[in-house]
Amino acid sequence: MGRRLFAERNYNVVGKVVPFSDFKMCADLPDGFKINPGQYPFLIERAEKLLTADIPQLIATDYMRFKRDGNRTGYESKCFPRRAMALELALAEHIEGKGRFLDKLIDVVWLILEETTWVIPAHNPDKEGVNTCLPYAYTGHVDYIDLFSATTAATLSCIYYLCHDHFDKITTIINDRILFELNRRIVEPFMKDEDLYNSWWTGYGEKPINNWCPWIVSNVLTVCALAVKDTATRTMIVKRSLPLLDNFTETYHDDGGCDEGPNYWNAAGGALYNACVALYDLTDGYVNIYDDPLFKNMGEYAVKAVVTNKRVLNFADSPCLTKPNAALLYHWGKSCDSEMMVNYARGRWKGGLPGMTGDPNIPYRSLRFLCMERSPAAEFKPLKKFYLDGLKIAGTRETDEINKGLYLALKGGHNLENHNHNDLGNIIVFSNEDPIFIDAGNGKYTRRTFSEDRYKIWSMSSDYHNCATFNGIPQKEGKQYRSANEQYDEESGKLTLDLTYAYPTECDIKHYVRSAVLENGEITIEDDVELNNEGSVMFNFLVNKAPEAVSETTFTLYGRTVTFDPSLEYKIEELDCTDEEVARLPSTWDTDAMRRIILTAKAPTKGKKYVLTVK
Amino acid sequence: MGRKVFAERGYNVAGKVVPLSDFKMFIDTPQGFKINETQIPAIIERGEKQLKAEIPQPLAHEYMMFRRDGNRSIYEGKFFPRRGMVMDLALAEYVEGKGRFLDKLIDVLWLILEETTWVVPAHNPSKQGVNCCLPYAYTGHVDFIDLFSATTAATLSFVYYLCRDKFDTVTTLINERLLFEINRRIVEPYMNDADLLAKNWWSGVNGNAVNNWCPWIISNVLAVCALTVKDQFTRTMLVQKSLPLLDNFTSVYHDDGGCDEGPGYWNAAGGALYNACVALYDLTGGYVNVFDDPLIKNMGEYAVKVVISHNRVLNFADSPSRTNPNAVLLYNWGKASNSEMMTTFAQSRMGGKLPIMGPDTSLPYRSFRFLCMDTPEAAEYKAPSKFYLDGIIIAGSRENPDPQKGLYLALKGGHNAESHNHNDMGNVIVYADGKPVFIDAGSGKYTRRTFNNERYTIWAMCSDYHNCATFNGVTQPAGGKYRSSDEQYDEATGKLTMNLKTAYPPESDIDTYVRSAVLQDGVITLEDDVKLNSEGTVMFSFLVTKAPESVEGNSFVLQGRTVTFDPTLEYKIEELTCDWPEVVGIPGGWETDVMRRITLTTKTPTKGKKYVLTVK
Repeated sequence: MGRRLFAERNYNVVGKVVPFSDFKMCADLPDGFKINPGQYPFLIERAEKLLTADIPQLIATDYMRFKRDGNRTGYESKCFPRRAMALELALAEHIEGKGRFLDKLIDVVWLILEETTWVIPAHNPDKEGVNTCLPYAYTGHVDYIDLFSATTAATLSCIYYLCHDHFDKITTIINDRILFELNRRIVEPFMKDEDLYNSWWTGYGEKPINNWCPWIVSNVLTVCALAVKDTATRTMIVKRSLPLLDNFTETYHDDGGCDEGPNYWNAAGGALYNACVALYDLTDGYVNIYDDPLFKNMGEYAVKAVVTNKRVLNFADSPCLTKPNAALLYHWGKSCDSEMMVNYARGRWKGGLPGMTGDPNIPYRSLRFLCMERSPAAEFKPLKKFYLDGLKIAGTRETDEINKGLYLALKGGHNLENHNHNDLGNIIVFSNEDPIFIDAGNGKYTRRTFSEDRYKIWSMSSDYHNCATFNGIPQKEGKQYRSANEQYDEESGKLTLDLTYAYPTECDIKHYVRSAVLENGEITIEDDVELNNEGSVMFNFLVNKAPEAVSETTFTLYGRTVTFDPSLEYKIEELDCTDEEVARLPSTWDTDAMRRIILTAKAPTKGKKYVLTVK
Repeated sequence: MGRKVFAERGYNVAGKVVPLSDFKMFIDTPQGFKINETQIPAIIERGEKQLKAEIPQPLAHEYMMFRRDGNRSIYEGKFFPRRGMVMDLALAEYVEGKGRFLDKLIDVLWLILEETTWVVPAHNPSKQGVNCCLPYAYTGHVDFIDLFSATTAATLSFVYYLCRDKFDTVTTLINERLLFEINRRIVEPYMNDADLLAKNWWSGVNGNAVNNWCPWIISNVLAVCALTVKDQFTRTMLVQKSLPLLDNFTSVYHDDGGCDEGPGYWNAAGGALYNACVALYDLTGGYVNVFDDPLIKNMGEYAVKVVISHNRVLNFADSPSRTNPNAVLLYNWGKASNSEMMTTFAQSRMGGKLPIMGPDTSLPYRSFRFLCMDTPEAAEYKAPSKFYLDGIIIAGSRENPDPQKGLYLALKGGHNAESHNHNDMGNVIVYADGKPVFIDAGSGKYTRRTFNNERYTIWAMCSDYHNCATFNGVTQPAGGKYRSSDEQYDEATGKLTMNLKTAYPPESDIDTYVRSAVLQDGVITLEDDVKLNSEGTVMFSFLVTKAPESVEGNSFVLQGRTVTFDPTLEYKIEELTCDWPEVVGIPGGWETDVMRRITLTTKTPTKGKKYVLTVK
């Protein structure tokens, strides 16, 4: 599957890369890089608050916690704010230029430059025979780039771009050291084949790649654009970035859907957009894939995944409360001529200029966003139905008004998606803005989140998604566990999935097909189950509150009546949210306790067609 | 002048340096490195205190302050406590061994290892064409060692020595990085002759005069060598290279052993040489041993000689007045050099009790030796009635061996290019019953100005703010040619006489000027024999900590003693402005709100006479 967008266009960037001294950001804008003065008060106010803020101190035992007890937030919650502080102070100094933010800015920048590594504990690479609870990269040589060493470098590059003249008035040592550290920590390992091929995110190894690839590459391109002076090195960085980005686009279906979920979209597709903007500027418009349909679909995916004004279709690994980045959608939509994307953003802003600041994770595009003009209001009408035929996600809504009527989505795919949850056949139902059946979503990351114990976290497991369980056995992870024979009815929006292969053989399934449709103000979910022998069948539904009323074959949630097969027995239980990975889930669903409704076959059965309706 | 103490003995250390795996500290003592049990509760207590303390975060703008406005104490106020923390925690973990100090220890240690430089802002070297308000040594290459990069390295060497096994149970990366940073920041520049010549003035390799920096740094490099350097050739070369550099230091001393930097520096000048000698002894299995050299002994005894009273020292040169000589250092040094003066003085100060000591992050090697010492017996010390340091030209006399009783007199000659110089030729200090009559204000806080061309705009550095004479409004300049000469010391009376015409420039219009001072029969007599070429003014300055109790005619009473001066002189007193940061702390050191200067000035133009002043 998948396309290599850059290779298809046969770019040869030699001679096309703009030298450092001529480089301009936002080459396609009439004024180039010029922050909209409408953003000044907001930017100054934020920076003024930082003037009196303590700079967090990063300590070794916080770093060591990841290997010790799996905690990563102790360190990250000190590390990330340093980056944000630096970028916001630099922006304020850049626009005001009176020097009052400069000392604090230098303090933060210098501390960042002194950090042994910019790689966060969870990504600190191993070294044979050494407990790498601390970084081994203290000798000057760096052989690995992670997401956050790249974001740190890109942030420092933007700070350099914004404030290098101010720094030089104090001492040339600040700029000299910024460039030295960027070269040492980013450019050198990026230019070294051996180190790069050992970095899984490049796609040169066995492991499938994800958002890391464009996220890192786009930030390396930012470093290249703003902080690399040698033209040969600039050219080589650009040249080497294109096939890496192709390794990423190649993992996408033509539908542009992000199998990591809508929350990662910002840093997956959104990072590809970031790379494209930087590449455009770096080659003065020569590298330009904005008109590619895949590129456009990758952007529109985020709009399609909007459920209500505050919630998204959080299949895969995503919190439910994410709102897609409107500024990103607006600019991306403009670049690839997508009315859906532009209108969504305009619908959010209602004609106002949104207050923005620099984004230390994906800074290049964020500086561009700061230059935007106010845009007229527009009404956003969500699609009444969509189908992502690559990811196997279908969505239907009763009206073209957001927050009104029923909403249904069903998901197929396979259980080796990026950041996979075991969730084949998962169903999401909303009524107006209220969640009926939900995907609990993702919580806090710990060491366990990405270890072999991942599926011991309940929120990763199919019996804690709105899926079926047979003979007490849930789905397993792995690419062989998948949906098959997907059939989408363009007319009704009905999606039918054969889920026989989503389960291991111990489930004793002969045949299992699920379909879901929203038609005439009613959702119908059909589960056609046939077991080899008599056994148990159980359907799980996650809800954020207990039903208002329950009868033999119905219950009421948010005023809607759910009717289920009379051979099933209703039960409800509260879910244990004490593990730190899931502790925040209830609050994202505006509740004190997550609950699971279980509909279980009352007697051993070889199966039947189970029908559930919501109306 | 001066002797090369190590070269004289023709040491060849090749083959004598103990390998790291066999190395032991304090091999001359029966117990070796074994901390005295009585020290342990305080060690734990300090460790516990550090567990609760916040780790200071030194910032770039604080580093830059030194170049911007001269302030060095804000950065240092965060830099030094980090060293104290890491040492206290390591020692507590070492003695207790339960792991409860380990995490915090690793945190502080790692932050120190991450610091761009261990050189303090005031010592950050310059680089042509660059404003070095921040360190340029961020690339990995280090070309300069200062006092505090060396003390940091020595401190971390002890942290390694004490806790390396515990670190390895967490991860080997801690020890590996510690050794990497020590090698990069200390061993490499020390072994690089080009860097030593180009940047490291303190080594004296250019033939320049050195001061306390030399033994202070070298003794700490030797501590690094002793405790962390694994390669046997490097160990040997470090020791071999250190001996002639230490000779550059001993050769700036006169045979009298007097420290021209003043008693405040003695601890880190001679005291650092002692530190180096202890480390060298251990490093060479006792082969390098200069403790019996009379110069080494005199360098130690100097600190005893300059004691005035229980809490004051003779703070000629650059020293606060309230420095107490380090009794533990004196005791151990006195034992090593067989000096009864040092050991008895130290024993009297300790009073039969072992003081509770901390590990010292400035000179850690000897401080660990001190932590292992047994309690010395009490002893009575009788201060000698007089002494004379004929090299640095300081004479002192006292009326009574009890330092709190009777009159005390000291007079200083020398020259005005001494280390940390003050312009103070002919300065006279008088105490009565342990209380200050005429004082040397002493040194204050260091700023950028303290060591740049504005040094002598600070009044505490100038001769008219010492107890010296001023002629025609002209004070002593700085420079080696402004000096005392023809010094004569009378062994019988302790009277010191010196020609001070040579301490003043020609504009002062001096024909002859001789000052003498003697304490005899309960009376101090200060004689100034002045002859000017033409009629002019003569002014004598005296710094005092308080206004006289009474003033009458040509006498005044201070600390109960009557000072009588020549009737041709007019008495005036003034309060001194102490708002500059360099002098703001001085009144507090003298337990007063305000420093005062008494001036005695000729009432009419004069060609001079013999002016006599007495204190009784």
